[in-house]
Parts: sequence; structure tokens; C-alpha cells
Amino acid sequence: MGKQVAENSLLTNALAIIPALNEEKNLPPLLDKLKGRYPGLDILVVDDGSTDGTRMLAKARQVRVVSHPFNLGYGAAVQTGYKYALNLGYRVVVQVDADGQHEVDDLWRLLEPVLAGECDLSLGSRFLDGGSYQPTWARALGMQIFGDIASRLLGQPITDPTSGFQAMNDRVLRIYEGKEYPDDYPDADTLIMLHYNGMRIKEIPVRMYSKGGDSMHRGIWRPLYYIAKMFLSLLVTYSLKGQYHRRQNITPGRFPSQRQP
Amino acid sequence: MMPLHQKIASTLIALAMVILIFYLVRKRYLREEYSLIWICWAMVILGVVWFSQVLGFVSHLIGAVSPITTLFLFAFIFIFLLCLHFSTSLSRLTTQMKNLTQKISLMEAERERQNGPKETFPEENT
Repeated sequence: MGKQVAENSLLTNALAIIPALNEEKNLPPLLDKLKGRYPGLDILVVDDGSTDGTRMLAKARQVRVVSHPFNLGYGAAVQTGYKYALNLGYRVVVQVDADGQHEVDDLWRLLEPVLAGECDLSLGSRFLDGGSYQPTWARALGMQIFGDIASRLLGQPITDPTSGFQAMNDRVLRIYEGKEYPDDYPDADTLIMLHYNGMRIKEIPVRMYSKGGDSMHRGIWRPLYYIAKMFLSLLVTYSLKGQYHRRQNITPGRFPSQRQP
Repeated sequence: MMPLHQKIASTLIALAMVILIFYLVRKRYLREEYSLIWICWAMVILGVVWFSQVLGFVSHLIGAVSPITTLFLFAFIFIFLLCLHFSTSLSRLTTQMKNLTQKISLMEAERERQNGPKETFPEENT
């Protein structure tokens, strides 16, 4: 119990971002769990143009809600959350998927190294630990190939580049709010971009549960599109390496934020 | 050489194109910056019709056997560049629209945070 009190005193500058699209079934239990487990944590639901009761259910649970008038995509939704966090001066953000595939208890595992300054981004990996997650073939292939490329370029093992369960500080938020951040699904390309910008990434074992969603990687054409897009995106990111390094050098001390929420 | 009535027909088509574009701009269905390229294209058609020796010369330059080949080649290149231009415009607009949508959503959330929510929740009142 004392541990939880200590956790909560550290969470005053932290915001949990939950991108949600038509999640009226899964969102309320997730919010109840989060609020019960981390009472000190501010929660923001980014409703990405839901057509069901997602928005109202979130509001009824007294959490912050930002609502897109229409669907913009997963990446755009979390980016709205990053912009919100920056506007209000949060120092640390943790993002959790609304479908309940992420284990709420593991949230603190992600936040801890970021709050302690051990890394700029902590990435929850479903493959470093147990969990019931079973990826589709395309996703498994993508993870293998792109995880491999990311591992090589980062010089550290990346086992789960597509993980949406991550925590980050405001230095990462400043990069994520830019135009390089993808509208659809951030992947190995985004991690490599962070690395080139001098951010330290750490993978943390977390538990994830299959939810039968993952429409991005089903069928024949979508996986092919995904793989082609990722290769292009990786190539583009790699070609921008020099530019990221230069930007990092000319703007030292731009990131430490002094703002309070 | 083209027969005279072919030249006249082509000229009329090109002029109709210019008039149509001018009409669209006047009605604000088409923005000036997108119209100029079409007017230029009509001018190019007129040029090729009345000075068809230019076409022969260019064909000779690029090694095309028939002037028609040259005409189709350049028409194809023009259409290709135009499509590319539209793709970049569309990309720019998509990014701008995303940023704008995010900004509006954030402003709305901020307003509600300061003024309290507009709606009341039946679940909370019961």
C-alpha cells in the first residue's frame, strides 16, 4: 500500500493518454481499473471520431476528453494527446490502448524509468515476458523484419516495435508533435527517428492480451500495403538521419520544460 | 502538314478550353493558381497546331519516327506531372486538415475544461 502512495505522489506531472475509437464496451472497465489503481494520475481519452457512446461514457467517468469530429487515425489521435499534454505542461505521458489489451498493473513499470530519467521513452514489449498475445502472420512477419532493422540501427534489441503501450517524457513529446509523426500506426520508423534525435529508448516487459482487433494486419492487401509503407518509411527516416543529428546539435537545452500543469 | 480544317477545329477546341477555364475561375470554381497551368496547356496546343514544324523538329531531336508520337509523349509527361502536383497538394491538405482538426478538438476540450461541460450526465445525477 505504501508503494502505491509513493507512486501516486510521483504521478502529479503525468498524463495517461487513451486513444479510443468506438470502445464503449472496453473503455469503462479500463477507466475504472486505471482510476482505482492510480488515483493520482490524470487521464485523457482521445475520442477519434467514435460513433457510439465512447465520448459520453468517458465524460461520465470524470476523465478529460478530447474529441475529433471525425476519424483521423490512431497516430493522429495519440498525437492530439501529446499536443494536449504539451499545452498543459505535463512532463510525462503514458499511453494505453482503449481495447483493454494492455495490463494496467504494468503501467507503473513503464513510467518508473522515465520518471527516474533512465530513458526518454519506455516501450512495453509483449515478448520479453508472458502474456497471451498471438499476432497475425503479417504482424508477426512485420515485427520480425522491422524489429530486426530497428535493433540494428538502434544498436539495442527492439522486440516489439509496434507496441502502443509506452511512456515518454516531454523531450519525446516535442518530437512526436511534429509532422514526422505518422497518422496511422507508429512503428519501427518512429523509434528510429527518436533514436536519431538522441532519445534513449528502453524496452520493458509487459503483459498484453489478444483482443481480436488488429484490422491493420488482416487480409491480403493491408499487410502488403503495411510492409511496403514501412520499408519506404524506414528508407525516408534513414535518409533524414543527418538532418535529425544537426537539429539535435543546434537546439541544445530546448527541451527541458519548466512549465507546470 | 495539317489540313486547314483540322487546324481550325483544333484551334476552336483550344479556345473553348481557355473560355471554360476562364469561366470556372470567374465563378470561383477554380483557383487562379491552378488555372494557369491549363491555360498554358491550351497555348501549347495552339502553338503546335499553327507551327507544326516545331513538332517535326522536336521529333527529330528525340528520335521519334512520327510527330504524333512526340505529341502523345509530351501529353503523357504533362498529365503525369499534373497528377504528381495534385498528389503533393493533396498531401499538404491532408496534413493541414489533420492539424486543424486536432487544434479545434483541443480548443473545444480547453473551453470545456474552463467553463465546465455543456452536457449533464444522467448517470451522474441518479
